[in-house]
Amino acid sequence: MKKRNPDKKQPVGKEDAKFLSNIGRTGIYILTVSVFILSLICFGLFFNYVFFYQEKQSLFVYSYDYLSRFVSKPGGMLEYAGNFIAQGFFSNLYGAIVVSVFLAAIALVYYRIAAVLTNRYLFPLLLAAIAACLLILIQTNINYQIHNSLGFLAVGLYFLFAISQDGRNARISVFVFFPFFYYLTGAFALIFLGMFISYHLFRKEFRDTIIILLIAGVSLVIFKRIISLQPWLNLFYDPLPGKDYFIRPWLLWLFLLFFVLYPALVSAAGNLKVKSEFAALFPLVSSGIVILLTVFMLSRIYKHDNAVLFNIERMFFSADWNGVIRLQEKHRLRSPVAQYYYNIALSEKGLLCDRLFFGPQDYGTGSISIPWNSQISMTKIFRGVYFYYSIGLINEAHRWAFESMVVQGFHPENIKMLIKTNLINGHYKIAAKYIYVLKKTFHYRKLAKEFEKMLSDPELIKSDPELGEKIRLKPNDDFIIRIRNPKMNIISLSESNPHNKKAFEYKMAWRMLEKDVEDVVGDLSTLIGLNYSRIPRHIEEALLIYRMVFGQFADLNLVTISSDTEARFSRYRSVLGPMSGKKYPAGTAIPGELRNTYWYYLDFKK
Amino acid sequence: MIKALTGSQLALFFGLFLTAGCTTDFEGIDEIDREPVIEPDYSGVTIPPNIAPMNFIIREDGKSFSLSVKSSNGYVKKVRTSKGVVRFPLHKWKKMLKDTGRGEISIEITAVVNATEIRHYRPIKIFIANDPVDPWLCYRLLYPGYEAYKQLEIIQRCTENFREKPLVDNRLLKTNCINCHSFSGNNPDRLMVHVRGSLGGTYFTEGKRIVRRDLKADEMEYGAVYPAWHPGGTIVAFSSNSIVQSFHASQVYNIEVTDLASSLVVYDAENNEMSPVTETDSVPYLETFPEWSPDGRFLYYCRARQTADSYASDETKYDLVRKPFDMSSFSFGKAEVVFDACAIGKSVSFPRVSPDGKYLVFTLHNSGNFSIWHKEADLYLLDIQTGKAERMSVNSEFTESYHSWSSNGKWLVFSSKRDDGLTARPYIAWFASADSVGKPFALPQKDPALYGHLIKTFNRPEFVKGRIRFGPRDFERASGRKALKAGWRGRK
Repeated sequence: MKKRNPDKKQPVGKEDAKFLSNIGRTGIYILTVSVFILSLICFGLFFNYVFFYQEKQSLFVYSYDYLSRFVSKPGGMLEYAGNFIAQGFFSNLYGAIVVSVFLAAIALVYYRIAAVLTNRYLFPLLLAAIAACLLILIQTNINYQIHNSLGFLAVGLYFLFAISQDGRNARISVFVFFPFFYYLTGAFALIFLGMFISYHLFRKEFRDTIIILLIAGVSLVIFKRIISLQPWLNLFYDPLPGKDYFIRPWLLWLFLLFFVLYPALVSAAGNLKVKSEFAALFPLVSSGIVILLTVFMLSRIYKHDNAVLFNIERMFFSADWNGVIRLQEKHRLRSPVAQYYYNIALSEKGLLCDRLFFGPQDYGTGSISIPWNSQISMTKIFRGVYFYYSIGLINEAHRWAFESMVVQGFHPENIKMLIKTNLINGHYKIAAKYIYVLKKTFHYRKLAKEFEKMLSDPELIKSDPELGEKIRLKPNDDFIIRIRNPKMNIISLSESNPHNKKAFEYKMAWRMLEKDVEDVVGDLSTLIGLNYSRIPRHIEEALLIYRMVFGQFADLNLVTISSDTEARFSRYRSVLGPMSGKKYPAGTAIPGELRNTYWYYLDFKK
Repeated sequence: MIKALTGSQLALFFGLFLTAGCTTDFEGIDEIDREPVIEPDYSGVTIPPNIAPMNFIIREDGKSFSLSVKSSNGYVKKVRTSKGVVRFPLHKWKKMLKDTGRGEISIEITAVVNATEIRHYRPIKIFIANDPVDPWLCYRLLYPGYEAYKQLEIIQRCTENFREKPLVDNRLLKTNCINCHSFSGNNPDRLMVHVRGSLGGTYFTEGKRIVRRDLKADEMEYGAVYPAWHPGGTIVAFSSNSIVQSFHASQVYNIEVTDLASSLVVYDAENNEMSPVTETDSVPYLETFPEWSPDGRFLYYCRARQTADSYASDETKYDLVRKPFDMSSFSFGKAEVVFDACAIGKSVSFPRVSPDGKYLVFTLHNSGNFSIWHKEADLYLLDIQTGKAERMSVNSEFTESYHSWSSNGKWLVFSSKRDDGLTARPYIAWFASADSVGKPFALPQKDPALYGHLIKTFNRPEFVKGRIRFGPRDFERASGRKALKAGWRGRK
């Protein structure tokens, strides 16, 4: 490990060197600030849903038990540090600032690495810009966690230390520290190893390569055989970003390879020539182009619908039902998740049969519930818990939340759901265990204390607007949950607790979405028994269709269809009449206000 | 160690020592005519002379607490704790138990509630039996969940101190499911574990190595599930079950585990051969949970008539049945009902015969065979000689389920959900005789608050006579070898 290896092909004069050094110094300031600002804007304004998502995927618990899960494996401490940072991601501003600081620091460190490796001023800035911009781009992936950026920063710092030090002791310290660095950062240490090897091989220095390889090999074996109960694969890969989270995994490999080969790239770039008239401008201009390219790619990556979807989810988690309804009706997302949340929000507001078709129902009954499937990642199907919770099937909601906790570990939503379902079911001692977990967090401590009060005063549960209602919605007797047949669960619940209006409305919604008008009309007596002050709008629409097709039906005499619905139906028929037999694109000739009807769904939705 | 000390507990731990020996005299003390509430509840329990320190937390109001620990041989120790966490130093605890011998420990607690109020409670008594307990306990630690699982461990824990070591860890087995660890007569050198998944098979210890077997012979419709070692240590009886799980809307029974079909088979480990336990009766039965008598002459098991609707577990009731076994001819005789649970509308599971062969403890519950999810499940003691069975005094209002005997037959460990209704804890009870069973105590933990916070459950507690010398890496190594498929006895 020798300090710097000046490119001897193009000696630089003292004055030139000073001039170029100034360019480099100014350039790195500009780059650092540019990366910071770009990242701040990018993650503060556009990709801030990344923070919301990640904050909901982990729960940092201030306990030894939580720490011990990380202490026992290489790279665990890096994850722990990442989770510590991510606990503040409930604030977008905090998240954007933290990420931006890391990315700017990475730009700075990787610039320094390049500057140390070559005294040519041309490429360090460019390569540092590429490194930082790659990290900005990858950071937009919701599953790319902050500990990864921390890992790349740590690797950069360690490598910078390794190449900046002269002398035997410094050299030995790099080798000696490696096992500990591996313990701290896991597979990131192997990226360092790759950088170290590529650096030395490029210089045809084999001795240090062999030494570090031996140390790394022995370290891995010791961790495998003695220290850590981890399979080889985890020892080689954790906690790098999971390749399953990338649509094109080869991009991830390419990304990792860039860092592994970074020293070689820097050295190789040192041999490139740039015309002298462009030389002074090259660092800044080339870096600027990289940043502009990054902005362009960010604009291509950004999907407004994703941002809206996460905004809907954010509102959903905070029980802002009006917000969910408003956003979905405004943006009409095609996402099944958005439509599923919309339906639950309607149900929570008692509007399911009034506004169901004000939102797009592209998936029929598929947006009523998310079916259980043990083969699908819990991360993807956890949202299914809310349907069961909403209608009062508390045991099933508990099951989903529990399965999530088992597979995903603690995260705010599964722990909150476990607390709520146990409080509703009267399992206070178990609820206390989850409250204990939540109490040891930074952001949810206050909420935990509110739940804690309920433990000593169960009357607070009954009087709580949310929990009290769920108690009233619960089934009155037992039945087997059909895990792959949600419709049967709704019917069974409705029969078990005839006063459960939500279950009834879901049952009606299911039938409407199945286009089963007869069964909607067939359950009219139940509706009458539930003391509705008026018939929900979409049920009225179903009744009118039924009346039109089958003529008057006995139970229809018991209900009065509002004049508004009658008038709307007349309008719909008058609009639809001239269209019969003509080739209109599906429903385009139907005016907007008539598309929010069950009739439109029946006629134009497949 | 499952959980270590928190900062405040550490401070208290040292505080306890620093203040040891201090005496506190109060005037105007309120005498409270009851014992203080402590967690775990160690009041009136009977403990073995080699048990780990019975650390506990005082669950009473108080800014500080003074304790006077007295043993029947005159040993007195006075200590003070501000947070109510009481931890006994291992060596002092051991010395106290050794010096006391068979006798009792009395713990007097005085609580300083505020400047003017001091409460003195009735002393808590802990009785010490003469009979030592096996030094190790093996259990599976997992979330008491439904379908999903991630990290599963089988742990061996020293009962004489707080040492804990993993036996199997599924992280090294591609997160396969691990279950049903079973020992041949509490022998740490002879055990088996089922692994289900890509590295599936039944892993047996054989001398100094672990071998992997595929016990599902071609002739078997379902895999081998619940095991029981013959006392000879070379054959294992299994039930071969088709198991389903269902979830319920009721909050009392929210999970039910049912056998759609089950029968018994016997595995000859020396020859790697399976053979059926023949049934001459024409009635279709479900047969499960085998258990050998200590002399190896009888195979006990649970048997129910197969109902038309296999999912109707509330209609399925298991009796306790046994069949004579002739080792020389490797044949079984006719089945006889030992406890007719159906007659009283109940169901039996988990029969375990005491090492002296005189008693059998089983779990009795309303229906089905998976008592773990039955709140009403209780332990019953059957006198094999007289055929009389009685509900044991160790039960609670919650589930008492899986149980096993110590090698000397003086201690019974069982899983009980009495603490919170969901998570099972290993409770240990002294079995002096059928008429004299001590109040059970939860396995002591270094951190006495552990049970209060731990969401995981202790599954299949089994006493072991010594430390198991195998570990997770041995199982990992064995998983790399191909599972040797079992043959079928008499197959041509």
